[in-house]
Amino acid sequence: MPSKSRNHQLRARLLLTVLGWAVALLVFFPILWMILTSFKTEKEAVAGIQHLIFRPTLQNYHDVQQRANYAHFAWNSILLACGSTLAALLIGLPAAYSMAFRPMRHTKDMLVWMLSTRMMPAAGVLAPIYLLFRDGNLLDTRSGLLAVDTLMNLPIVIWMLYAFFRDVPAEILEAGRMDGAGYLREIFSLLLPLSMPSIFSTSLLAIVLAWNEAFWSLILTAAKAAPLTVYIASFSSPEGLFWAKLSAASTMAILPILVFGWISQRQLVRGLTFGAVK
Amino acid sequence: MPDLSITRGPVSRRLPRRHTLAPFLLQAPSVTALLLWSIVPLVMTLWFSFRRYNLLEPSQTGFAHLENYRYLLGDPSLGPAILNTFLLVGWVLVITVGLGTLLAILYDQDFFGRSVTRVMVVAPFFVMPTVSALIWKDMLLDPENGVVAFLMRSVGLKPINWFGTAPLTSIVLIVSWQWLPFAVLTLLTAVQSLDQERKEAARMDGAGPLAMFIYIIRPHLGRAIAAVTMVETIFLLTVFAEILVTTGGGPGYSTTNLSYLVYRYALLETDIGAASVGGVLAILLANLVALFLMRSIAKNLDA
Amino acid sequence: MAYIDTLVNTFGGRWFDMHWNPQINTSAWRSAINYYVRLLQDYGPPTASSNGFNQNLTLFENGHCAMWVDATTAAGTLFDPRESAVANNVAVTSAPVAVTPLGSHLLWTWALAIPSTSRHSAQALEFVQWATSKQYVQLVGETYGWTLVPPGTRKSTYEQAQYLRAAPFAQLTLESILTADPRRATLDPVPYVGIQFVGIPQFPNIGTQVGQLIAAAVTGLESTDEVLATSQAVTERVMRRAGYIH
Repeated sequence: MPSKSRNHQLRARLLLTVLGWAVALLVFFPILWMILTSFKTEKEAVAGIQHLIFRPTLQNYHDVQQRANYAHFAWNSILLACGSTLAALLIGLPAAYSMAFRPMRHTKDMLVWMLSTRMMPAAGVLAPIYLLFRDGNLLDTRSGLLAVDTLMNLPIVIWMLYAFFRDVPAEILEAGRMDGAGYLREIFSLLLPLSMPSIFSTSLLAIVLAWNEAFWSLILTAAKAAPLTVYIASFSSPEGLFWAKLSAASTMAILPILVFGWISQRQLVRGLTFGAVK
Repeated sequence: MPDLSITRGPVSRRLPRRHTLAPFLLQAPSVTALLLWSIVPLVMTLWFSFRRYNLLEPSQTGFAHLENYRYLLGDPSLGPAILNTFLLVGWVLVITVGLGTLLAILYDQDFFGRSVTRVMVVAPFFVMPTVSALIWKDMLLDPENGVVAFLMRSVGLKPINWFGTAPLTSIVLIVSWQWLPFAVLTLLTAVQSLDQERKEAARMDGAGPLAMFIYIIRPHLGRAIAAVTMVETIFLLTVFAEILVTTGGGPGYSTTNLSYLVYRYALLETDIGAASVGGVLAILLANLVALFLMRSIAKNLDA
Repeated sequence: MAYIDTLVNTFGGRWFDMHWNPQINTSAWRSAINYYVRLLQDYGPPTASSNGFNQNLTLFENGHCAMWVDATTAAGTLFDPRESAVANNVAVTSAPVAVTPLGSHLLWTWALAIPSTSRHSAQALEFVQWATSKQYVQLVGETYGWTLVPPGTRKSTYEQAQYLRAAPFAQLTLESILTADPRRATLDPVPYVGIQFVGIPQFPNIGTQVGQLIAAAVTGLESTDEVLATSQAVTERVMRRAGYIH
């Protein structure tokens, strides 16, 4: 019995390994291809699969950096992503707390409405927002785009924190209340430590979403406040070959966020599920 | 984790009231912010929908009565746009949730190098939508130089012109690829939280993999699937960037969804009045969908 | 749409009559579009319906296509042996003519602009002046080769013997520019200016939608007749809205 089942287990494990790796490679392949392309010349890049074997070159990375200051755009992206997430947390956390622990008659409707604001296509409010920004001298400013990113992330932040807070056992907070804790103490000393993982992963999701936000960042910025999304878009020209350079620019753009996401994948998962899973 | 279902419910959620002002104060900043963000543009959108306002014809101003509404609602591409919106959302949901469940089970199993493969499966979520779309269009699906065409030719098949003959399918493919990681991650955590003891007990009772799936795993995933569906729907309703850089809404109107239609009116026709009507329509649709989701699926979340 | 518009012109068609009625459901249009669709379906590359300048450039310079109709700006790259595999095997000529030579070759231009929000407009102006100067042309010619010099920007370029020697397409480019007349581009009179475009604000929108519809015909998703009918209807809708017709 032992040796037979051990063989069986080993065989199953090998099969799973093959399957697991095959699927992963399949899913990852486009990204892998993009990274490979960033080391080719433009001619090789367009020729596609015929150039499976090629001599790698760093020329594209050099060109990309020379053409526009990558660091400037990256810094803008970081500022915007982290700043808007922080702002959304500051505004959204109290709201989520209040909705989760002191639900009122209209709380559910409020949540539906908040959700629906996020479902609206940006193009619909393109004109009003653009005009507001133009008249308010907010075009091409970091604060302007930060406000937009914050407001885009706010419903998601509130929703996720709300869902997680609903999982927090009420007794713990009740116990604190019995001890005479005020609101602020309740939030800071009791709720926050408990919900750290969820806050962390909510933040991660918000950061990723702000990092990849490609509509408002293109419309509302030009050069000063432009994040990486604008930088990438500048490589899509109607005339002229740009494949390899675009791949290099994109690899540079996603690298930080990929590394960041990998380091924190477990926390990311925890918060991504509305507290639906433990 | 202990089973807390007995402590949940409306009664225990209500902490004893101290001040009735406090909830307002706590919620005020977000509500105000969101109010401004949604009400101000909403009001402006409604306002513009009744005005003549074309960016390239500044002399045309004034009250437009129902002209804009008649114009937009009479657009032959409106019907296809709404249909395409639902098709896109529907298909991507089906693919990501279906495939996501299977992959979640796969990556729950123990095998060599599992953590590396997990990172690989999660990666698509972090790539910028425009970049993903371009990679798929020109490097993978191109019938001349693309990788898929190469593979098809090597098994003797004639390559497909994806974006020409199956445009909506291509868009669904790209968007599903982008959102699969999210579904897999969420469902994977759900699968992992499934009580090991229950699985063992079922196995002892002689349940094969299929029975396990049907009676144990799938019911447990209900909540996670609800969560995935809600979040994905939010974003799928307004898919735009991928369409812009690949098909531009065509050929014909086959990949125009409501979001792209509004963009076309706003930036191509520069008709802000009509675009605002599209915006109003989109808001109505979004509210309907949100309501529907809350009623049907969100119940799962509270369970 | 640029090529299609010139195709329609040379088949004797026009976008609008003198009263701004769209003319898409005329026989000239039908001939032109049928010709176009059949040509691409029978002889065009698989992605013909969605290929842009870049893709076609790549196809042609790698020897995958025998003929390419587009702007003269492409010539420089095609004749450069470093970029193009067909550099020693290529020639240029005017686009084909059907019923009339009027409007059979297009005229367009690129321009440099300085945003009004710019904080360095003086420097930007200096750059623009340099980039369009004779010295710049000279610099490109000496550094990268005379075939890659920006074509059609300065008359003086076409007076340089080195350029005319190095670029076999130079003379044709100059002639094409000088003989293209946006005010006289169609067989029948029209109320608009433009060879491959119609100089009204509504045109980008109309042109894009009609272009997408024709693409649907090329990929076989719809028939040419359906596409022409829809194009006519869409154009009428937009023109009615803009007040050109009632």
